[in-house]
Amino acid sequence: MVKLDLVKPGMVLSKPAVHASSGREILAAGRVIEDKDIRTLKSWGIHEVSIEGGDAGRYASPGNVIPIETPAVTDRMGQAFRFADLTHPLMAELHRLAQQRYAEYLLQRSAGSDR
Amino acid sequence: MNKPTLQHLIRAVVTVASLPTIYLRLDEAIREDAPHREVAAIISDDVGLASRLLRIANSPFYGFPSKIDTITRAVTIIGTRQLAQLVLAMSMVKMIDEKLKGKFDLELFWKHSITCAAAARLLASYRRESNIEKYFVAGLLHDIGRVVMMMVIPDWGTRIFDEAMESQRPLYDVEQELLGYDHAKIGGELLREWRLPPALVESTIYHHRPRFAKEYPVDAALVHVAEVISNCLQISEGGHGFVPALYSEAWDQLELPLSIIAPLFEQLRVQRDESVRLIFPDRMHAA
Repeated sequence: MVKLDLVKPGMVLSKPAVHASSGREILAAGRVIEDKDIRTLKSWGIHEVSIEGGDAGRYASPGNVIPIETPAVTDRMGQAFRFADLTHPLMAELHRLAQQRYAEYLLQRSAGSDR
Repeated sequence: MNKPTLQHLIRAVVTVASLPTIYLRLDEAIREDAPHREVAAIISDDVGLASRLLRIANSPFYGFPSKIDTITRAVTIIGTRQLAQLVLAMSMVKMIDEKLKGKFDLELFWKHSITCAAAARLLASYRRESNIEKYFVAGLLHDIGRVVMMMVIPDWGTRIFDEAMESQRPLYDVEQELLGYDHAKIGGELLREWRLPPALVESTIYHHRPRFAKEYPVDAALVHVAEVISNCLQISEGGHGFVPALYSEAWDQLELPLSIIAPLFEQLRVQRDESVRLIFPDRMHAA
C-alpha cells in the first residue's frame, strides 16, 4: 500500500480503492490516477491505495509541485525531444514524465545553490 | 586516416580480451544441469565475485526477507540461469574497466549503460519474462561497440563523436557514413565472436533498427525502447543530448499497456541507482 501523500498522477491502481466502512468501490483497479482522484480519495477518507509496479510509489517523493510550463522546462525538453514524434502515445507520456522530472531537478538544483 | 575494417576491429579486441573463464565454466555447468552446489563451487573460486553476488542476492532486487549468507543459497534464490547473466554482467564491467581506464569517459558510458540495463530489466519484468537478468545484460552491453572503437581506433571514435555533436546527428548515422558500419554492428559482432547467445547478438546489432532483427525482434525492440526511456530519464536529470527517435512498431511489439510507463519511470531511478551501487560500490555517484 502506498500513502496517499506519495501518490502522483499517472500512477495506476493495482487494486480497487474501497471505502472501508461502506464497502463501496471508489476507484476501479487499473485506473490511471489524476489529480482529481487524489482529492476524491481524500474526501472519502482513504489514506492509502495499492499502486501497480509494486513499491514504486514508496520512492516517489512528496513536496512542491513545480509548474511544467516554466520556459526553462519547456525550452530544454522541447529541444531534447525535437526528433521525437509526440503524437505517439509512448513519446507523449515520456515527454510528460521527463518534463515533470526536469522541473523537479531544476527545483532541487536551485535549492542546492541556495545553501 | 585509413578506414579500419570491421574485421580488423573485432580481431584487435579478441586478441587482447577474452570472455572470463569463470563465466565459461559456469555456462558449461548450467548447460549440463549441474547441481547447485557445483555451480556455487565455481563461483566461490572467485572471492570478489562471490561477495558481489551475495550483495546482489541481499539487495532490494531480490527482496528476500532473511539474510542470504552462502553462495549455495544465493544460487537457489536467484536461479542458475539468471546468476550466469549476473556473472557475465559483472565480469564484462571489470574487463572493460581494465582495458579502457583513462582512455575514455567511462563514467558517462556506464551511467548510460546501467540506466538502459535497468530499463530493459524493468520492461522485461512487466512482460513477465522468466529471465529478466538476460535483459539487464542486453541493456548493459548494447553500446559495447563504442568501447571497442575507443579501444582500437580512438581517433576515429573521437572524430565521430565530435562530428555527431556538431551536426546534431545520431552517432550511428555518422559512423555509418564515415566507416560503413556502426557501433551497434561492432558490438554485436564482437559478442558473436565470443559465442554469446544469438538473442544478445541480435539485440545489440539492431538496437537502433529493431525492425531488421530476424530471429529475436522482441529482444531488439525491448533494448531499443529501453534506450529511448533511459535517454528520457537521463535528460530529465540534467543530462545532455536528445531523445532518439522511436520506432513505433518496437513499442507495439512489447505488448505492454501505456499505464506501466509512469510507475516504470519512477522505478527506473531507484533501480538504476541501486544497480550503480551494486556494480560500483566505491566509485560512482548515481545521476
